[in-house]
Amino acid sequence: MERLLLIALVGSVTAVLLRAVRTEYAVIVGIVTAVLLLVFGIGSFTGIASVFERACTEFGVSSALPASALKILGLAYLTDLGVNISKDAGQQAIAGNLELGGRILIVSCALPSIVSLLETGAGLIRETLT
Amino acid sequence: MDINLLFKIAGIGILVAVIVQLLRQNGREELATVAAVAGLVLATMLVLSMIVSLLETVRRTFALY
Amino acid sequence: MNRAVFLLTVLLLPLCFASVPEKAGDAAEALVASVDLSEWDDWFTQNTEGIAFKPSDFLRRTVNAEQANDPDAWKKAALEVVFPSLKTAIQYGMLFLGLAVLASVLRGLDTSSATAETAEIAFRAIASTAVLLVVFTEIRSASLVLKRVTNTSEVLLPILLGYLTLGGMEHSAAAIAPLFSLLSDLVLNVFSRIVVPLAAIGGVLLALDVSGNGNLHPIGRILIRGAKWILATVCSVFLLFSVFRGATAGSADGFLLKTAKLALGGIPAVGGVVTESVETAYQCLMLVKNALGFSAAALLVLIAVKPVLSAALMRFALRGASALCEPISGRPYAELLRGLSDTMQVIVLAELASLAMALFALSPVFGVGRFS
Repeated sequence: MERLLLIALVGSVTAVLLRAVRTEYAVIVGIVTAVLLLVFGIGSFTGIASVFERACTEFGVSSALPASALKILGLAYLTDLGVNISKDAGQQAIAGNLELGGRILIVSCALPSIVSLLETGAGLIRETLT
Repeated sequence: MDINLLFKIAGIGILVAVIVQLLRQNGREELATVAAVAGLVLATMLVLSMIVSLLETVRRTFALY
Repeated sequence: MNRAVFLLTVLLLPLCFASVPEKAGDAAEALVASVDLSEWDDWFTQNTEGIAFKPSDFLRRTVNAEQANDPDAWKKAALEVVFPSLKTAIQYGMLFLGLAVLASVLRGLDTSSATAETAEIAFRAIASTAVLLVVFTEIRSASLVLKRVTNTSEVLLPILLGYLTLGGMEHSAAAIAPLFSLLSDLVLNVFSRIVVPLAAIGGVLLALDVSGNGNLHPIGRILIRGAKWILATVCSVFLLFSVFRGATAGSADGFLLKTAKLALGGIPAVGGVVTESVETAYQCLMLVKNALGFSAAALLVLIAVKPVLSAALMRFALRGASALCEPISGRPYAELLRGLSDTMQVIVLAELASLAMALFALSPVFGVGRFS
């Protein structure tokens, strides 16, 4: 945790400094800081993901489900990353377009899951009624 | 790699700023612009490898392909 | 009345001409040998996996008042049943909590941004599907248990009724049969056709509430509450019916048998000895009847115990996970788990109630009422 804090603080200060000198380097420093933080975050994530996946296969839930769950999480985080960096660089339009693209990707990733939810629900209701 | 990269980029940025200032004072505007762009390209290439490795990790963890 | 006299006479003759039996157990052994419980043995092994219990053994041991060969038998059987269910419950808990933790990761994003909203809806759909699938395996096994209780009653009934009528306890037999038919026709049908589906549909509706607005929640909750209400009503009806029909069965039969005893004891030629033997024979009859009742009850309970236990544990896992994950992954997910735990509560209650009613219908055979 200290490393993350350290990186974030140093990165912020450096970015502010460089903004006064040459603006483009501030953007690059922002990108680097964000990427470093994300890399450390993902490292601790794999543990939870594997527990969840194991529990799913244990109960016969098809492994497509945890895969889509993780995909949605990854997409959400990457989109958020890009949007924030663009906004910090002052490019609101790019941020907006990236957000739109990201949402479309997330929905297209989740659509089969929503369909399977409805199908599962209907099938289970039919099963209990017969 | 981690924080040192930040400092490297900061260093490049400040260096480029100084060089551009100097060149401007000597009246060589085009050279100043060229130096600024070169500095930017250098910094971006440093960062690129790191971004690629991040995307690789993300792809592996979240199975995004 | 005639049958009672006949049976007692049949028991009486050998006792007259042989030595007086040392304990009632000898005559009881003879009676037990005449009762063939192999059908129950087969039924039990068909319907359970791995619990070491044989109804005919149990009957014999109860009649002889033997200790079980292995005094830790019950402990071992309990461990065999409880531990796997506990392990499964812990894994259920891990599944639900894992989902909750993943959901909390999503909340780490800026929650007002559009990306976060979309991602949350998408994730909630996946979480609901996973949880529904897991809960419904339990619901399926619960329907199976209800069917099994019905079929077990049908298997138990012929031997029990046969023994009771043979022993002259016609009133008890007459009291048990309609109770069992009410149980299997009305009660278990209502449970499997109405109560369980209502609870299941309520759960599904709660899970379908993907947008997090809670629009489908009231309908789902009303369905589950309705299922609980129907369950309670059916139990009360059954109780009323059984009290009404079976109240005097015990004393009526006692009266019959006492009359038979007195009639036999009144034969002057073998006065005192006869009364002694008659009493012994009567006691064996009662002994074997009670043991038979206990075997039947043990059979029923052991057939139903594993699914009921795992359903109850799943309910606790859901409830616990819902409470634990409210701070980390937000309201909607906790509400989903809570609602599904209510569904499981209805299911567990339905299973337990059907088991209790079957045991209650068997109670004349235990000798719960005073017979003599």
